[in-house]
Amino acid sequence: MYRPTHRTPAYQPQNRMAAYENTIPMSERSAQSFDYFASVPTVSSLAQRSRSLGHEARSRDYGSERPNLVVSGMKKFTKAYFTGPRGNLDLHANKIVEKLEEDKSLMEDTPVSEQLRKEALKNLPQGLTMKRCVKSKLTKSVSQKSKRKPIGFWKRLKYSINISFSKFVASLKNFNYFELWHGSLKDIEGRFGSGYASYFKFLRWLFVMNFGVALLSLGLLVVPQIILDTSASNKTTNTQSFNFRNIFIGDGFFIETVFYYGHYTNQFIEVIPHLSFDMPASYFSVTVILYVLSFVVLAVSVAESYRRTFIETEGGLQNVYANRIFCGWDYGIATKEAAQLKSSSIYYELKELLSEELKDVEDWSCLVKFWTYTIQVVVNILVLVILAAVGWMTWVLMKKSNEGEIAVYITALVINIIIMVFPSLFYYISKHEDYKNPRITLYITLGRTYLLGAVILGTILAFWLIHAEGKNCWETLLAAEVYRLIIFDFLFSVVLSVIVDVGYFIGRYFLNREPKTEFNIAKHTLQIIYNQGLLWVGFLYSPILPAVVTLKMFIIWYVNQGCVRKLCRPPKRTWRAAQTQTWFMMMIFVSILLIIATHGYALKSVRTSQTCGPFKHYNYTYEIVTTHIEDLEQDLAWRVIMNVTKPGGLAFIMIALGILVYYLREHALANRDKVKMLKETLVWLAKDKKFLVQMYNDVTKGEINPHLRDNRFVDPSRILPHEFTEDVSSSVDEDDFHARFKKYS
Amino acid sequence: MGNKLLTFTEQQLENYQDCTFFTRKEILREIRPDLVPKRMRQNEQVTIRVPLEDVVEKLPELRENPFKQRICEVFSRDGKGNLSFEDILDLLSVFSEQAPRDIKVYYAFKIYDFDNDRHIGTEDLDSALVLLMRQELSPEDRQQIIEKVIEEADVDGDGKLSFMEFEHVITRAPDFLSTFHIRI
Repeated sequence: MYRPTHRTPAYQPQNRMAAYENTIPMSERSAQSFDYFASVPTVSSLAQRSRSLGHEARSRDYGSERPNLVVSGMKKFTKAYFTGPRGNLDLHANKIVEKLEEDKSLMEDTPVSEQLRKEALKNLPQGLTMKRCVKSKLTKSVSQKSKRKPIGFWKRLKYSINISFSKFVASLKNFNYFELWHGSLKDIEGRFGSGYASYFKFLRWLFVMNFGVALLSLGLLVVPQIILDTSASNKTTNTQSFNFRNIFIGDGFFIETVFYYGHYTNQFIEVIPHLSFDMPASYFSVTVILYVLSFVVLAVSVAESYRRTFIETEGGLQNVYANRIFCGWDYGIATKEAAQLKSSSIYYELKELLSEELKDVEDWSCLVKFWTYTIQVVVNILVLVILAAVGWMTWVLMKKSNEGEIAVYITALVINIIIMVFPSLFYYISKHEDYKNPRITLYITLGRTYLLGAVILGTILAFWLIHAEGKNCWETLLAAEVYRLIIFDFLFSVVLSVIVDVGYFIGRYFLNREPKTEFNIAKHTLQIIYNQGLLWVGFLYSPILPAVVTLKMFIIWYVNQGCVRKLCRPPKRTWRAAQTQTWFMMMIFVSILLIIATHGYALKSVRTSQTCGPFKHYNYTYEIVTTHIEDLEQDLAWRVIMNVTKPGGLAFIMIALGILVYYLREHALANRDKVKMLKETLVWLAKDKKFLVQMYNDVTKGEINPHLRDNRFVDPSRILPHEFTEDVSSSVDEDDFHARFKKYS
Repeated sequence: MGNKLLTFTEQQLENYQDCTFFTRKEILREIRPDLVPKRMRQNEQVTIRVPLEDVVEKLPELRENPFKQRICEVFSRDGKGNLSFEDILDLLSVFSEQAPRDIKVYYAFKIYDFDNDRHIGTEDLDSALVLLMRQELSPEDRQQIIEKVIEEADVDGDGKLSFMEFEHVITRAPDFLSTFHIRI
């Protein structure tokens, strides 16, 4: 009678070196360990498995490979010992190369497929040594198999363009701005966690963008004007004298410099003969193009950020426990203190979650619920009223500020005090409002603070655009106002708040309380966003503003860094950076959108001042476009654009976009339902598997172990090097299985 | 220090650039004296291995990491935690910002699978929790948390997490990419 002998599993042979003893032999793994790499077992796959069970150990030739040397750096004893053989590397690499060769598109000898090979290599989840081995084998096999067909001229051109483009992109990546301030960012991340680091990354990104804008506007607008000013033919003297306080107020001396719109000439600059520079055209096109570029960059970043944090993650945080454990530890932490804090914060979060489970679902009585909702509604209305009051006060201040010197100071002072004080006020209000979730509290406070800034900026813009008629050179006055606000904001939010923070620090130190406080990421980020909004409002009328703001951001970086390092401690609660980042980007995007819309309106429908500026001989600024392009107003394209931008056309576009969004949303919801259905199918499939294994066990009475790890389907590229065993390289034939199975049939 | 003997050829640098997610500049930044093993000479990037304790000392992020043992084991060629220079480069490449999500998820799974059985079972979760908390969580608390995790994440009802289930959980976590990241 044929009886299958219980052979000791072949993969635990005695002639292996010690290093592999810690691999768990196959037979000792539970039969119930299902591997999703395997499919539902079929007869032939079962055949392969059982064949592999009885496979003999192949003797290996270890002699040719040099064993590895492990060197301990400790001076006490230099221990060197040998680790496992390298013979395994070759075999494993061969397996992987075989698998990769199946894909025809990787094996051609073209540059395109070389790129594909590089990508495939990078995505291979193996060690670097293995990857280099695979790469050399791949290139060898490709060069052996390549059939050099002569490629035509156009194909060669296409390939060379492709290669040079990807080389260019790679060199750009080499030069990317990640290098800027890299050391200090790493230090902050290591000591305080990735929450604070996210604020600094955001600051750095905006700094780089503003720097680019500043360079372009300085080079193309300010420099030509300066050249004109200093050229011999055009000596104009400044009618105002310089006063120190002009730096803060921005008027007086500065009004007749390149700071503001008013000073720019509306003529051709022809300092070097035969080389004329059309100033008005340059002014218009440079500013418009820079606005559009910033808009595009922001739109792309917002979309990418939204996709990464909301769409790919379904916007939900249902797996709270799993997330805390698997994603809780911040791998960038590098100091003991931060690590201690991190682990205690995870501990507290888990404890909190556990205690919430114990509590019953809050069954608030109707009265309590009603009361909470009323309070929330009332507070929201109150906040809206406050915002309206702020707007009205700004309006009044703007009116008064034209009537005297002191009034100018007062305006700027009052606005900045509002911006400094009100966010903390909102924060305290929202703490008492009893929202269910601390995240909602955070978002509401952020929204209110943002609205505050928006209201202030909006009223300033509206005031100037409406009162443009009566004033001489209103653009310059508006730009001066914005400049004033920026400087005062710098004084308040940087200088004054540093003094206040240091004061608090010293005070708490003497009161014997914990002197270090947490760094308020939300407040500082909103400050930067407000700053950026100011920049965009003013840039159209003051080409030097980006340089000023860039300088300000540079100073802010170092000041905040110093504050964080000396005065702050790591946060107690984890700052969920990813989702709040998306909100911040969206806020900035909405700002630039609204500002561009307002400027577009100003360019089109607000009369330019006739006494100053590069557009003083036009009625409206956009006319520069129409007069430069001949017969534009009769042109079909222009008429189409004009009609489309009328209210009716815009409404139509909005409706069409709305329908598109609705369609996409329904699509997403349908996909979600499909996912749910597929999940249920998975559960049923697993149950099927269990059932079949049970049946198999019953039939064979447990004598053949149905280890379901189907080696035929195991991806050699996904095995760790020290797990690579012979089974993966073994082959199976079905006859043996049938021979054995015959007795049961 | 003996590292003056260490230079990399153009070919080697290009190889590294092709096989990792680093740019050339970042690779050159890697070759700093505290990361490269002292006695390493030319062409010994693969064979000289540094034992676990020394590796952990060289990288401050690893020193404070509760899973340092496991990380070193996963990235080493012998499974015991002794890393060669190329293994360290590989480790940093996977943890870099440019590595795609899939690679990170794959290695995260390997790290959290303490007993190497291709599933994250209750013992694995238990070890992870013990390592993560320096303050002690009581065993009942741990048990409860583990049950909750399995309940949330397990789809096919076998009581542990396979790679697919783990991947499914992690891709829905918005913070994974930002926390699973070491800046070099």
